[in-house]
Amino acid sequence: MVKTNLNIFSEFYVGIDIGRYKIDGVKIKHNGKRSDIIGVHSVPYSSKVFDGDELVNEDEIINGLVEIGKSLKIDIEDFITTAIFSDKVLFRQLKMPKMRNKKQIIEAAKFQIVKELSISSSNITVDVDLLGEGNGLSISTFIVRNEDIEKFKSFFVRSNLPVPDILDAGYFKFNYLLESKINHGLSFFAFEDSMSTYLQIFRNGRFLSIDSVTGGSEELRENNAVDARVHYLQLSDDIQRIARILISRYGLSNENIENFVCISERDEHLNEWVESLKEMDLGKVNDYYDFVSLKREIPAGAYSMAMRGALENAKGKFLHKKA
Amino acid sequence: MPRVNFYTKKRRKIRFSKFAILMIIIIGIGIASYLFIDLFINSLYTQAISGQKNLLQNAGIYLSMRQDQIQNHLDAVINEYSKNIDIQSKILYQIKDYINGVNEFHSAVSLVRQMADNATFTVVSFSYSANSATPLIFSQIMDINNLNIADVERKIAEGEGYKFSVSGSQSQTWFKTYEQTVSIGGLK
Repeated sequence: MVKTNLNIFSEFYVGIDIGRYKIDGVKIKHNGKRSDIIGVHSVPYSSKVFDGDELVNEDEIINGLVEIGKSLKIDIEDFITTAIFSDKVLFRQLKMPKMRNKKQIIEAAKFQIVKELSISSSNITVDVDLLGEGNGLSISTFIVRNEDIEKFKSFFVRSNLPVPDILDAGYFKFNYLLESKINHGLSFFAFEDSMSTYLQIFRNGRFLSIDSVTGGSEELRENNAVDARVHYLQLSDDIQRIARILISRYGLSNENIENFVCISERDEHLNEWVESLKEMDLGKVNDYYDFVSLKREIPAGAYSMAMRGALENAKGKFLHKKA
Repeated sequence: MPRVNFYTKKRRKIRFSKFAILMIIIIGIGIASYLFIDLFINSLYTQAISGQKNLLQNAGIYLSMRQDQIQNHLDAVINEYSKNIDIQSKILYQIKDYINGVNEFHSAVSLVRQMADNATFTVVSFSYSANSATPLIFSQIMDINNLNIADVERKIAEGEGYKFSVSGSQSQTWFKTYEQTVSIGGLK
């Protein structure tokens, strides 16, 4: 039977994860309710790209993007989602009176941030996530310097790829596969970046906050199990501490932790981390791939971001509409 | 779940070729709609006028005579008939009507009738035009008792390829498409 395609826009969604050790690309076809993975490609960096958090070799990223573009046949019509490095996105929680619309809230948040950080409002881009609380609003504010955005954009321009449609925050790149799995109770999601590890707390599927601890995958210099064990024991201890602080901050000490999910930029020793976390009494600990039932050969960040693009264009019915 | 996007403008893009095809489809639909409406209106119009008794004027069919030519010949006709004041006045009356544009067709045909009525003059040139495919119904000039007149009209029409037909006993109809010039010479 001939299937008629009446869609004007492309049904292809691409997630590109510019990571600390490799670039991943996943292309999916999303048609109505069904998503199929069309292509997966990863390009490990052949030389050192980051020195700590600092980017020292842009060409390696450009070359990787070119290769991803060719391999996945990325087209101008494809909807591309990518994420700026986690350390470039600043997080602040603000309290404000209720306002009419998101634009107004962003402007107010920007004003507050500019005052707090003594930076010019023309140099930053702000996006917000809202959580209504009583008479006021609890606003999660995410701030990025415009020059960082421009630099990130330039990677795509120089690679002859279309400019992405969504520029997400690095520490949220895995979130979109988690959504449906953490609907109930208290959940934590830990993401180990190269220099820091980020911990998000969710209650009944709603994001409450994010915090970070110093220490990440760069500390795993010797790639052996003993070092990994020591590293992850230390990291898990720090994470446990910050998790307890978050629980206490939100007055949730009488609630049980349902899920604790973790993932790292380097996943060779992820099981070590899971084992260390299991010793910390943090609910049911899972690594990300097991938790979302994802095959390990599929890059989680890139796939999750491709899914975000697809779901945001599926008439918005998968999105939270509450302000 | 926060869904931050540091690109404020999120737009879906389409290839130029797809855009061009879409534009062609949109313009095509526009033209097709126009043509359909035009055709529809035309068919309504045709439908409407075919039922009219006063078909000639409604269908935009006009009988016309080139004034310079006809004037010369009419001068001759008038001179020829100067002895008969009655006929002359009738002809003048018809010319006046024609020139004033009053009931052009009827006046012109009446003029022909007046001229043909008398065997002693000649119409060298007589022209009229039709701009519609709608059949002409010469019901208003039919005179069943005057075979001479009917015959002249029939000669005019058939001589230029009109199909002559009689539907019932009330009308005579000539069919012809598009603009025509009828020249009649040597009518007696």
